[in-house]
Amino acid sequence: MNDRAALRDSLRLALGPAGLAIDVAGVLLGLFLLVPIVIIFPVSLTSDFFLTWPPHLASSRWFEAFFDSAVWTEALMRSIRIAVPVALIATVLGTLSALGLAYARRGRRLLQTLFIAPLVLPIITYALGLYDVAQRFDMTGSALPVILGQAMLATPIVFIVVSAGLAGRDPLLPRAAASLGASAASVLWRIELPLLRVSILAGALIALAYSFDEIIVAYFLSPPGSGTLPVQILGSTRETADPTIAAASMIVIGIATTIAALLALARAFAGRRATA
Amino acid sequence: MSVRADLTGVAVRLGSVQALDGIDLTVAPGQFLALLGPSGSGKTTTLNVLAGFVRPDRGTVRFDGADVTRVPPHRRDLGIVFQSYALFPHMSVAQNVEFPLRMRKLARGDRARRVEETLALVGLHEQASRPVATLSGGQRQRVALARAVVFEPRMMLLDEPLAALDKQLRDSMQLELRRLQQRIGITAVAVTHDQVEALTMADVVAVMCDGRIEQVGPPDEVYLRPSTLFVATFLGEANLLPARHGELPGFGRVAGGVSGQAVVRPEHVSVVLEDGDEDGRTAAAATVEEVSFQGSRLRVRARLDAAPEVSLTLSESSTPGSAAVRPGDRVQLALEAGAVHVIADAGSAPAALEAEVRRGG
Repeated sequence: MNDRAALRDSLRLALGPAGLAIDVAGVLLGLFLLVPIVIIFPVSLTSDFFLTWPPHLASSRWFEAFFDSAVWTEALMRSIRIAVPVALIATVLGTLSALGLAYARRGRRLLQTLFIAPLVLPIITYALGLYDVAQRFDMTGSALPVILGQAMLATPIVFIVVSAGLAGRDPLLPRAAASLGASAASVLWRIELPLLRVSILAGALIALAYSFDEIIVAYFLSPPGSGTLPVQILGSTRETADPTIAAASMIVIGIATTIAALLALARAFAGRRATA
Repeated sequence: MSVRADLTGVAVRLGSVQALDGIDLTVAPGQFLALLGPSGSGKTTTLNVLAGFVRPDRGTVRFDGADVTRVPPHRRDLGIVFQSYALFPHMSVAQNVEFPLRMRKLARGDRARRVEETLALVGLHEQASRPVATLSGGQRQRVALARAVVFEPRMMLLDEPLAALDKQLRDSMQLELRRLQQRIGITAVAVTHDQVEALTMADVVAVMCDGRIEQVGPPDEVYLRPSTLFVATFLGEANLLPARHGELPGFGRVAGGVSGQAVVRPEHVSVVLEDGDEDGRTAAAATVEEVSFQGSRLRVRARLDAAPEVSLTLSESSTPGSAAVRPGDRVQLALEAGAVHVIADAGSAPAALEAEVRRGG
């Protein structure tokens, strides 16, 4: 922490007056990132029957409409039922690949590129391909293609987060544990996984949020009329300008925010443990 | 718990580097051996071969005669102290020390008792429940030591064990480490690039260079009778003088009829002012070039009259009387009797004989 403060001070000295400009740019960037929420939240509280701006505020009507409508609540439940297994699969695969790569003797660079390749894939092409495969296996009526499709895209995210965690620990720890009599399994269970707990949790939460928000794979592969929440939002905007959409968006944002808060909590907890 | 370790013809290639080039080394039971050498000399690789982290391309590793070359690290039963200590950050001091006992599935009561005893041995019993992140460097070093010996391993391996400590702490830990090793009577192999550390701690020093062992022997032997020029210059400061049939320029006959390089340690040369007594045959005329004050000692550089190309470095006690030497002074340099060791030129008798013996063996 002291190093970081020293770094900050020296950076500030070196920047001189430019430092102020950077501060201003930082505040503007923060505001820019908050704009979507600033717009959507008031709209979701409007008392009007249409999406308007500025909204006539102070009404929970559209949140009630959301929870009263079977279409919307079912979409929400579907999203949850898909996001949880996606996060589980991505966490297991991402963690294993990060660990495997850390122990790999050769081909590390190639494997790393392959593991993060799904992130740069044109998702629309990928989704179309998946749709074709799902049809061949006659699975277009099930949620499984969506789960597998999203899990594949979320795995690199977990991989990156866990790899970063692995890079942060003393690479000699597994070796030390082995010298003290730990078998490979003991090294994994007693050293690696406990040390990576926070990274794995973070990866899982990000994967969960990713799946909750993902629309392309969900749009192509969801069975007709039973899309996830984002798919339902997209469909509704075509038909109506009903503020329930804004309420639904707020729910998506609310879930994302909750996940982000959990992440921050996990990190804060880990930080306290490390310095306690 | 002390094992005899034998390395025979061990060769290791790491990438494009021949890290070990066929080394033979024996560590006797209960012995403290220091592997000493510059970085890249192969000393850490030797330790890793003993630990089982590196599998040799050729050669064998034996513990008490049993071949363990292919035994994985976790079955070798060795206590290793790493340079970074490699303490488990998510465990307390006691949990770190308990870890090897847990891996050996000892009963809870036995574990607690041995952890307590070992922590007491290194003076850390009061810190048992603290997280390792809160410890000082010296305390971490002790935890690492305790963790490495608590399960009564067959041998202790130390990789630059004191390199991360500041100088004062290092000096006291050298002796402490040595006492601990003797108290439990464990065979120990330490890697170090610090010659003083090696000479202080070890029973036997193995000097390494370029993947080979240059010389193995007790500290005083490798220091006073180095077998190669590398050992002579790597261990402490050495004045090298040409010796022809036992004669050194200016000093006359000081060593039995060998030709080669004479190794003269600075502390074995002393200054006699020119007008002083001159009866010693081993005194040579010289001119003082440089004098520097180093606290308890004076470092003097002087050029020999008989061999102007040679500058001798010597250290003089800096008591008020002897501090009278100044650059430009004409002095006599006296050589302590028996302190000259000559490394024979390759091709002269002793070296050729040694080569033959090695080939035969």
